[in-house]
Amino acid sequence: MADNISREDILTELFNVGVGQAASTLSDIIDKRIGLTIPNVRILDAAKGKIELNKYLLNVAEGAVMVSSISFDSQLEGKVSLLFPADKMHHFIDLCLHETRDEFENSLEFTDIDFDTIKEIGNIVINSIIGELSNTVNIPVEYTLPDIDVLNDANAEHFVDCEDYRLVLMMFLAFDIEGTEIAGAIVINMTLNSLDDILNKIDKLYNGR
Amino acid sequence: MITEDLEITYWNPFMERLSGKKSGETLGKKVDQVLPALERPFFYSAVERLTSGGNPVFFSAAMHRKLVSPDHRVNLKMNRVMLEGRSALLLEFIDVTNQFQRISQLRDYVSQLSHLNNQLKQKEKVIEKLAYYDKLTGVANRALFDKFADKYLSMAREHGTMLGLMFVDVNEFKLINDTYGHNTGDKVMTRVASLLTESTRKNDIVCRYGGDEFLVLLPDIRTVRDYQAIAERIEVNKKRHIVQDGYDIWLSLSIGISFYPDDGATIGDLIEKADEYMYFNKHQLRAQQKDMFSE
Repeated sequence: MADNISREDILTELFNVGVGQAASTLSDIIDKRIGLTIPNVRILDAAKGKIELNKYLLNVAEGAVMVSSISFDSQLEGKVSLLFPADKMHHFIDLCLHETRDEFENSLEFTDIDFDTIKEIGNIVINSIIGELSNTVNIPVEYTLPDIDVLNDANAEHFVDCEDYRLVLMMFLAFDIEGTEIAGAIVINMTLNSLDDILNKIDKLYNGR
Repeated sequence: MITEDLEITYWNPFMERLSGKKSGETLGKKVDQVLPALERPFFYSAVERLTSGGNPVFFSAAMHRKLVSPDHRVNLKMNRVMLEGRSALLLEFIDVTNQFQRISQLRDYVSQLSHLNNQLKQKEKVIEKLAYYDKLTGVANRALFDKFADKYLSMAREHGTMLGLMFVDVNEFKLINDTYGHNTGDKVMTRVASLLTESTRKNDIVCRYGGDEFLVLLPDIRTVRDYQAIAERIEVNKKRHIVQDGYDIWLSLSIGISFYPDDGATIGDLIEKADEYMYFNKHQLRAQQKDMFSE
């Protein structure tokens, strides 16, 4: 049986394949060079996951985040949240849309157009991660389109559920649009059973057990 | 509605209106031929993902400007559905053109409001300038002096520092006015204000007290050396010839300075004392001049 570190390494590699495809799709759509990388994936229990997430929320996002989230079920069950610092999102959206907006618009107010843009990006990124995971371990996952929300005073409680023996897959997402970098975070909060299923499949795939 | 190999099987009246293409023209054709904006890798990869995984896909009108026609902004939702036992793809185009127009209008309003707000701020600055600054010389007027005098006096009390108050009078200013005219006199007054401002520190307050008199507030004086540095800079310019409007004018200033707490506990006391010292300085200067002429 592989230990936790090698499982995390395998998940990191797996998710990077996924976000690589997402980057290529997004580059095709917005016609700009886009880099998407996940430096590492960490498997944490809910309590530790909350601590790590709160660090990100406090240090990078200063408590205000734009969240794209989906709940998934079928054989795997849980919730994925893609988080971006809200104060960077106008610039980020403008880069995606080839637009510039006046300085006075740079508040934390977002229009339906902004929300739809992030919905598409969230759909592509989350699809790539969950899709790659589902394909690799050959476990079907069903989900809907992401819900988009802006949380001005976000904390880990919004994203990590302690009930039902849930675990957290926590990863940071380095988003680079033609040199402008935005540090996102992805939190996958899933049941212990679901993660066990994934890790067992990974063990079988990579260690032949 | 399309098949997994992109063939259009249903094209509803809404799509006819949106695209300007009748159902008869589109049925049986590939959707990427009817809507060329879809002839892109992202669309094919979305179809592939949808076909294999069944999870919905979303394309926004903002990122895809001319998905159906140049005149309409549409979001596109793609879902896999089962139809008569076979899987098909439902492409749901949602017209959000009105949303774009509304947001564009709102942005225009916000832009106008922001412009008005900026104008208002500019006017506020002008009003503040008029309320707190001397119109002729641009230095503080008595209203601003009073505001800062109270503040600086409280700070000196709190921190145990000295507050200096300098009383400056332009000698023989009436003579300058009578000799060279009021216009030139006004310009001389402005030069004196500049001279005092340039000789003092950033937080010092130079105020036109009235006529040819100025007050200078010198906060946070901790040692005599702090004051001396300022005094030396003023001393250099205190008696000199200046050229104004082509006239060579002899400019001379009488200066008196008082300090809190040694010379008084209130601003009134400090002004009175500084005024007294200034007159003493004026008499000294006159005596020196008399001596010079008698020699």
